[in-house]
Amino acid sequence: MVPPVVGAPARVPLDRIPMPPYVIVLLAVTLLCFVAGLAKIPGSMSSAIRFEHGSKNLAKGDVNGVDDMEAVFTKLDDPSVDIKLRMAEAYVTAHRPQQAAKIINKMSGEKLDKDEMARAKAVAEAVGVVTD
Amino acid sequence: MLIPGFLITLVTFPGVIVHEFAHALFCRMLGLNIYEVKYFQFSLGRGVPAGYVVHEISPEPWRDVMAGIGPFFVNTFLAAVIGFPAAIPTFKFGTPDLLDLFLLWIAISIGMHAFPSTGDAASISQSIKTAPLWTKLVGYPIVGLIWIVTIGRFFWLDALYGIGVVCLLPNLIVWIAS
Repeated sequence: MVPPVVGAPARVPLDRIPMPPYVIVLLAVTLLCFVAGLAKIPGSMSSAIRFEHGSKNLAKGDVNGVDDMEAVFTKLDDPSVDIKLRMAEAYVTAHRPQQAAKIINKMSGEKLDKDEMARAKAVAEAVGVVTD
Repeated sequence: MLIPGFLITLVTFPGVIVHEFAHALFCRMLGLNIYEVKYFQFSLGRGVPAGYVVHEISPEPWRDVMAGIGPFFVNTFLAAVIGFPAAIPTFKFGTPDLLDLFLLWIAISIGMHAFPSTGDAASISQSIKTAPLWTKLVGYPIVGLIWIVTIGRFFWLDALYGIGVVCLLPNLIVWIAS
């Protein structure tokens, strides 16, 4: 049996309920954001996955993992303290003290919380950088 | 923290508009006649909805159920896609640009308004009263969930959901995929 068409006799055509201009603008902006999101997803996803993949490999003892982390890190413009510290710690683990020292030196003057300070000091002690 | 509801509605107005648009979209897709749509209205009064869609009651109640919960799917999907690429540079790497912050605002606003309202719950309850048993078995738990979520709104459940979809989901996906 063919189901009855719901409300067919009294159907109001869509153009009888026009959208206010502000709704059209907002939905257009949302659509643009959706397209921008779709376009940006592959880049941001692959860099985040590469960084974490490198970090996990490093934790498993594969020192080449630091290369994946480095490839992402060098493209970041002034990343967060946590990311800088993770990169520095990765360099220490991968026996590249000079690169770790470079990051710690660049961090001078940045405000760190207690935990971050402890991590920075641990890296500094491992690579022989004098910190304050 | 007690922030007046009208202020939250005002700040997250894109989510309200997308929520009502999703109701209207599902109504059109399911062949339900729409009588009136208010995409957004600002009111200081209590109990005044920020938006609403008035549509016919379908002789097939499952259509009403779907029209009622449509925004949950549309808002969640849009929030996830818009917010994902902005959440990674912002929360993972700490390198957001202005576009990322704008995308985050839009995405969290949309995600916050994913849950159906008590008005939607009332509409679903009304239409499943005379529905077949299977529709009731699906519909009443949904109505119950909507009421639980409504109580949860006092504890910022809608905001937590929006933030969770936008901020936590990307990190979870990256953690699993890496």
